[in-house]
Amino acid sequence: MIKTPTTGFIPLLIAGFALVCPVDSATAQDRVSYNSQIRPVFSDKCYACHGPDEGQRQADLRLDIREDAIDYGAIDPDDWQQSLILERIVTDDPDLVMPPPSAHKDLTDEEKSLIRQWLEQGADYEPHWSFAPLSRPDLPPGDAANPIDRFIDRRLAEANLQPALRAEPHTLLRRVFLDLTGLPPDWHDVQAFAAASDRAAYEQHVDRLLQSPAYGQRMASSWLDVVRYADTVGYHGDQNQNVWAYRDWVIEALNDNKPFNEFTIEQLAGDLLPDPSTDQLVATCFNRLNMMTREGGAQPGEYLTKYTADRVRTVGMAWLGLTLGCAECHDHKFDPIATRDFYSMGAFFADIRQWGVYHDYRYTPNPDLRGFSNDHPFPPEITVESEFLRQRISTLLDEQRSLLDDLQPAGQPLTEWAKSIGEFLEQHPDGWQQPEVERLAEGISLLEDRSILVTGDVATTIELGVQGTIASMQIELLPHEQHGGSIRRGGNQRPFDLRPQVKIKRAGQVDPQDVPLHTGTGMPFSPRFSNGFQHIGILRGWRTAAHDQTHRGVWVFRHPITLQEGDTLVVDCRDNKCIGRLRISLSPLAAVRPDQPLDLDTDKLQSLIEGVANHETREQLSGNLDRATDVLPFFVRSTGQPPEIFGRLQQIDNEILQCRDGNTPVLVTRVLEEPVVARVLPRGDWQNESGEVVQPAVPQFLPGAANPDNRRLTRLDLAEWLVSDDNPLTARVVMNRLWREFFGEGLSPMTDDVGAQGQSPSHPELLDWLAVELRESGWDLKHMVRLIVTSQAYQRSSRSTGVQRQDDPENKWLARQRPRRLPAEMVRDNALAIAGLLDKTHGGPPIKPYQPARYYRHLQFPNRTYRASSARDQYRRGVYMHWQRTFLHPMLANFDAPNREDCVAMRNEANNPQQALTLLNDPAFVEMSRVMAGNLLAQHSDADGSEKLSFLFRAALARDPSDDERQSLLKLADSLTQHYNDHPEDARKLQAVGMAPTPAETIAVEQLAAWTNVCRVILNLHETITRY
Amino acid sequence: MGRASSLPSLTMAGWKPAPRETVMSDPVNNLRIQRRSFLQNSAIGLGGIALTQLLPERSLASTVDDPNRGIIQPLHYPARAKRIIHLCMAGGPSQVESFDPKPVLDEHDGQPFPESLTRGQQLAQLQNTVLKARGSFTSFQKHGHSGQEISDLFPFTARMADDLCIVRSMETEQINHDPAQAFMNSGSILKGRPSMGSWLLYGLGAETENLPGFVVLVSQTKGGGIQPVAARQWSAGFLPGRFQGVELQTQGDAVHYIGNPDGVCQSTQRLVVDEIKRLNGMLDERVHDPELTTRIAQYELAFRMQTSVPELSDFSAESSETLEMYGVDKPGDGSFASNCLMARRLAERGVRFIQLYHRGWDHHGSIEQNMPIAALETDQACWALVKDLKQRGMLDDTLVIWGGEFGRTPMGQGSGRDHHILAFSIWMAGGGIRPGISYGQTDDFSYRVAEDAVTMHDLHATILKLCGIDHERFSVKFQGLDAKLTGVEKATAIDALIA
Repeated sequence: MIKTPTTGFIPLLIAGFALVCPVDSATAQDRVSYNSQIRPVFSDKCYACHGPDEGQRQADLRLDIREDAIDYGAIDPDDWQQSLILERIVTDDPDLVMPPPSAHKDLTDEEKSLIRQWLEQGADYEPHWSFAPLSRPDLPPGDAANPIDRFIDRRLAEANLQPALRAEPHTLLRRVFLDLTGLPPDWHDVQAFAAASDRAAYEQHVDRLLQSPAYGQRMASSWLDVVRYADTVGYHGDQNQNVWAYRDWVIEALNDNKPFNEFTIEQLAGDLLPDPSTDQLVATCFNRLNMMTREGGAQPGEYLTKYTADRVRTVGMAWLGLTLGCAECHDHKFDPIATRDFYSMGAFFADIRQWGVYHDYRYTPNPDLRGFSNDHPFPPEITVESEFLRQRISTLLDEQRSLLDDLQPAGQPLTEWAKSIGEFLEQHPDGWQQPEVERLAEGISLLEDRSILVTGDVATTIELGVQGTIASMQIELLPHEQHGGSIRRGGNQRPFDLRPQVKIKRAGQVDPQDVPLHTGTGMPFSPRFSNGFQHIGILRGWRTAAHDQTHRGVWVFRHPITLQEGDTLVVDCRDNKCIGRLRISLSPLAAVRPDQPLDLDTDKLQSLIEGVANHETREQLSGNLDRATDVLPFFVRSTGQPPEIFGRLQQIDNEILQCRDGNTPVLVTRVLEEPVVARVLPRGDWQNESGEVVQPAVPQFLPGAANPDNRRLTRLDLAEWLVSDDNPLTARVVMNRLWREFFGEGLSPMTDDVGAQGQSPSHPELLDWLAVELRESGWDLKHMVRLIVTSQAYQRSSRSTGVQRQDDPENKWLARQRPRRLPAEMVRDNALAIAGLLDKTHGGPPIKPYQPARYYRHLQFPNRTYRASSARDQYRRGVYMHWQRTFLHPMLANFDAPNREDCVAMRNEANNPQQALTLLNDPAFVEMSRVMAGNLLAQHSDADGSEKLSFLFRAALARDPSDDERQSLLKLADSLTQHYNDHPEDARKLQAVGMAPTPAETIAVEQLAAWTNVCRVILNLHETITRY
Repeated sequence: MGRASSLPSLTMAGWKPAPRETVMSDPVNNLRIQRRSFLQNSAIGLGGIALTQLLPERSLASTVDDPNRGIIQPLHYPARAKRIIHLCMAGGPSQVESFDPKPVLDEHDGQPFPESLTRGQQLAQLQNTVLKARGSFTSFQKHGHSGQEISDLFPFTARMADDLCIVRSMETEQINHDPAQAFMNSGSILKGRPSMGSWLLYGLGAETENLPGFVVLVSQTKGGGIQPVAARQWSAGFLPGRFQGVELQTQGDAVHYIGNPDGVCQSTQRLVVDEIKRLNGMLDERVHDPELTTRIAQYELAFRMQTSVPELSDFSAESSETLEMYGVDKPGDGSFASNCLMARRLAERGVRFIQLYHRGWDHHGSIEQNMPIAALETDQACWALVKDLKQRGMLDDTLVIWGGEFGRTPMGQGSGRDHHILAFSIWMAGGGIRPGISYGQTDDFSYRVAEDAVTMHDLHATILKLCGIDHERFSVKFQGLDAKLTGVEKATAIDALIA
């Protein structure tokens, strides 16, 4: 390294000099702390050139290691005034002063003074607080029962700060409810707690809340930020990925209080555990949450590099609290992380089966992804059972059953139908009839088994002569020797698509009528996809599978049709002239279970019919009520009568089919036979193969990195090391983040960097004590949460006195709590709960609240339309919202939810006009307001205005309104009532927002509109979206 | 209701008016405070020092009315550009059919491309194929006194040749659309980085209180070559959310949630907003939460936006001559021409950074059909915008930038061209840029830059300098690093581009 006068560090021959800055006599006596006072200055202003990064090091001087600094002469502990750094930091000469002016990192006078004192006191170094071995500090003496308070009280005493009193009961209860479940307390709890708010009563609430299933729904969000959980892949077309089963796993793991070490191991390496359970495999979806691409022209090698780097950054931040990403291109400038460490960490993930570009482009042919399009999923996936979906199916089937239960047996029409079906079944016991083929075009011939052989170059359009009622259609595709034993014309083995179109040609009419189809199911089939999801059934097209096998497809008509003499049914297979042989059958019956559509269940029907068919009237039928009731589903499904019940059944059918038999695919970790070779990429250049080959290893500067057997380490080794006693970081990082959830800021405020550029903890011993307690409690998170929220510090009032604000403006010493605006998801959850609209259901596919139209119009490959969820899923919690990385729902984005493209360990907390606009005008919040008002007026119709306000305030804020609030709002309600009396049409418009039902007509719509606006005010209050 | 009485609490608030040294030496705390608050509630944080004492050179009133003051105080250089209009030709227009004539390439049309040039270089869709030169399908003429060479696809642009500063020597690092656009906008492919619009808004502050300071408009071609554009391209990244770009919608509400709910008229909305402010004020008297002061101001700002955004979208005051000049058929129809007119309206109203995307330049195939379509859709409006700004005296301090996230290969790809990152062209006008010059040169094939390369980071540094900011001194601490728009590597503001 060449030393130059401007950047180098040559001795300055100045005989004597005086420090320009006066030394504060009070501080001069104190011992300067390297960790909290010197290292932050060195790190920010010196390490970039004199720190760990070898590539950037100037003048061969390394200041972050004491021995190196002494050898160089930069520091002289024996004769501190001879320390070279001293003269270089005080000189006025711009060519010599350090840091050089060009760095724009001038030292302040205070910093210079600190460095001087530190040199004078012997220039001791300390290991960086987060890297130092972790051991349990002694508990400070004191009366407090909760160890947390001992540490905090000690600092308060030292700072001579008077702690705030315990928060008022209603404030405290609302705080702990929101913090532990994201939902407000109900008024009964508030009243009871106001009457008796002693420690026992409080702890009872805490224990109950920790057991509440809402706990996991609330606590999951920050972990999902850290692991960058989202429902789409993020790059380019930002297609869907199937990952929600993992989100449900996280929520359940938190609710079950899965120890954090197991939580860690299962996510990073569940697949490497002996005989892993399905849940443990679902957990490995973690390794697949990096952004992915299928952009045309993207290079697989480049993107594999990006995916690996993404994982290293995430693991680095999630568990180690470090910005490992810096080391992708160069040694870390501030922390002792070498570039090699980055790639060695990446090597742990070299065994993960994945593809750089999830497409089969011609210029980068990929045999693994043959035929892949923009609609395909992102393998590897496994299919797992979903408790949510199974429950949903059973609910929907119950709804269908109860629709039919409400029906009375229909008397004559039912018996007549039963008779005719009975006769039909005698001739066609399986329920299917092969009708006459009307006309045979050239190249189409009829075989003896009523199947049709197609050999010519003709469209597969078949005209059938048939009379009577038809409810469903079956098409069989049959192999034939003339096609070499294939179902495809000419024997080709390549799958083809067919999408039959059915029409009726009425006798004497020219234009045929379309026969719309309700469902379609085929076996076997090749899967087809639409933006990541497999098509349900074959309604949108049936892609054939093995061509030497018989294929059978059944379509149910939207409405059963009746053909008269002379009518013709035309079936156009729309198969691109591919079918070689087929047989069409028709049935007057339709399957009763939409999820079992191939089964007409004729045996059961036959036996039921016998009891029904011989009765002429309703009275006679009643003697056979059971049978009649059982036969009703067949009757309704096959006749379409009564139409409103039939229509409703079909709607529910579609919902049942959406549940995919109670299963869902989920991305998981699967291993390659051979891990890919990992090497250091010089300057992060993926095309440069000159770098050293590296084996999996944890960063060398951290303890426990040794690998004496010299075997190849695995993800399991990494996971176990992360939660081992050797690693000083994980427990500290986890507790620091957890602290933030309950105090609004970490003990070390930068929860996303505990390295040298982060900030030293305000209470280092408390943080260490908590970290050790976490470890020694068996990584028991609920235990730690309980410890925190039962501390006095947590329970203090968040109001500050003037003295507190003056002495500790940042509230570093926690003499009081911090008010905290609710995170985005909880802004929604809390408002829904206040309005009485919240649906607390657990799990399941992402839900889609209302969203501004055309928000996804810049998304292509494939094009996107957003359809808001039905009322069944519209009022679910925010944690279940569809997370579109490139276009995050505006409500979430406006309230600072991250788009989760990259690991986020610290959300922004902005306060901006978009938030006001959202709460004021987002239809979701307007709907909440009108439902809230509707409930109020329905349930408290006798209450006067003042009492009504009490109910609203209690629901929203867990308190009664003050007199001035009351007066102000009553005046508003009055003038709004006046306004809407004059504009009743506006009142009606306001009640039409959203899909929730409008209240009974007994409530005057003008009143409703006025109170809806009062509720809007309440949902918009700062207090409503803040936990105090 | 007048502003003074509707914002009573603002007398309590003001941007932390610390001297520059403090601001720059403590960006961590500075940013942390901003993360929490739109307005800085510093009366308390400063330990009760009266605001007036700290604001010698600015009147108290102007500061109070100016909550959007930028972080760079004072500016490092005199500002040449006060606002920027970025016309992003998304997808990557071909340089050899726009601003970089290459007779030698044309001569080699259809012949094997010199391997000496391409060996070891990254390719996109041309991976694993035989590379052939593809000559330009257009011709070039010299235009204006400056004699700048511009292709026949851009006849209107050619009319303003003497206003343009053409850069033929642009380079970028990312070869696929998504990361290349991220790199163009944020100088990084890491996620969570602010886009240049956010940086500028953060550094310079906003000149309007009624509109977002960073506005995005997106149009798309009727031809082929459309690629997605993600909202991350106008993300504020780790900067506070108020610095993010706001996309103006062409249908429905121009800004999400800007319209009153059905059945709520403007006067009712005013009552509701006033009531929210009143009740928040009552709470503030009890709890003294500085966030409350900010919240109250945000509701007023939101309400003002509700009024000013509809006015913005009302084109009725635009003359038919103006509409004709831009080539606007129907104002507000979402076309690029309409968006250019909107850009001028936004610029007039003090919006700091206006970014237009025209999605339609990804001509892998049928370039001879599709590129003329995209050019036709944009050429006249670009010219009209520059002319309009000029005739209104705004071009001097408005920087207009035209260009894509990369260029296109001089090698053919079937009937089109692939992505190319080693050389491409952009132009700039106004805002202190040197007019009537073509800067930089590529080799005979427009494959590589031969002279005066300008990297994306150089371009960013130049833009910042035109706006009065030294890019080296404009950083924010993020995850322990001093993050800059111009990245870690050396970047240079190109003085030759500055008048």
